[in-house]
Amino acid sequence: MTHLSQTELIRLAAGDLSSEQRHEARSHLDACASCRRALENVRSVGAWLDEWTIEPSARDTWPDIERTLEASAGIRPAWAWMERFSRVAAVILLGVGSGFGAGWLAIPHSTGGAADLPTASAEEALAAVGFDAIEAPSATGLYSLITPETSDSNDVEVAP
Amino acid sequence: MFDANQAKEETQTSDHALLRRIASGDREALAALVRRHQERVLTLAFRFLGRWDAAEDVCQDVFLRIFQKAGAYRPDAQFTTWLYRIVANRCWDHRRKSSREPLAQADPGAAVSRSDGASRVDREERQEAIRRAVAALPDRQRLALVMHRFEGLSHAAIAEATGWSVGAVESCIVRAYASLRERLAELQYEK
Repeated sequence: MTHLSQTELIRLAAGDLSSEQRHEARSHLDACASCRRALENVRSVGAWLDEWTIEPSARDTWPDIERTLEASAGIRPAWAWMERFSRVAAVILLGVGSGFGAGWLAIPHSTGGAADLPTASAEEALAAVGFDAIEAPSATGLYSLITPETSDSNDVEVAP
Repeated sequence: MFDANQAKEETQTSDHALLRRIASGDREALAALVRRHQERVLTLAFRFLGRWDAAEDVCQDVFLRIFQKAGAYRPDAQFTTWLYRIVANRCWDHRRKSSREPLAQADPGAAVSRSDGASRVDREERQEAIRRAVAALPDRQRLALVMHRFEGLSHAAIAEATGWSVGAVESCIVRAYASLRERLAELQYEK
């Protein structure tokens, strides 16, 4: 014989069982003195709890709630402005950060290893930068190398 | 004949209607909702927290929360389920904040035997003994017991309101009953 659990007894006493469950529990209780005693114990606790009556609070809480709402409404414009400002700032920062991050990722970066460097002979490298056009190093030759070419060379004073 | 279920449904519909208005900032609707449900909230919070001032704080928090969150309420659930969830959360927060404060003297026997040597206790003293015994329960057991016994919530409804499993709720209630039986045993012979 399976006895009724404490949960079943509490639910039975509270009227929280379905009619089918209640019928099964009643059938068991008819045949089981132990469960009847357990049910009485549960009911006695329920009866004690029923004695704990409290006078309902006569206090109306609405005036306090209304005051709190009004107080929060009073400071709302400042908070609303701060809130809006911080949201806009957050969006801008996010945009700038994303742009910076995307740009950084788009630029190829050297890992610093020699294997990443293009290989070329010294002559090829000089040809690439135009050094092969220099016939012989001279002061003016060097000057022309370091002086940027401009369409308006009148602005540049040629050194003697 | 006016059906009780119909009345319940109309109140429920009315709660939903009030919440729709509250969601658009209607304070009159909030006032109506407060006056309809504040007693339920106050008594539950008082039975759990043991003090009227704390219960009133919780009550205010609950309705301010409803004012803030009314727009998020979905009418597919009963309003009272949502209300109990908010009350349970606020009560829980309150206990967490004041966890070092004792809820009450955890000595129900003192109130019983103090009265006179013949162990005769009057009604107020019995009530005080019961209140102290309930206050001495661990928080989870007390919350589950109050919701079950005084609010008449099913174990499933308590689970929904607290976020605990039904098994955990049942375990809390069984333990609370066992503890109360032990603490209040002497009252049995004093009626």
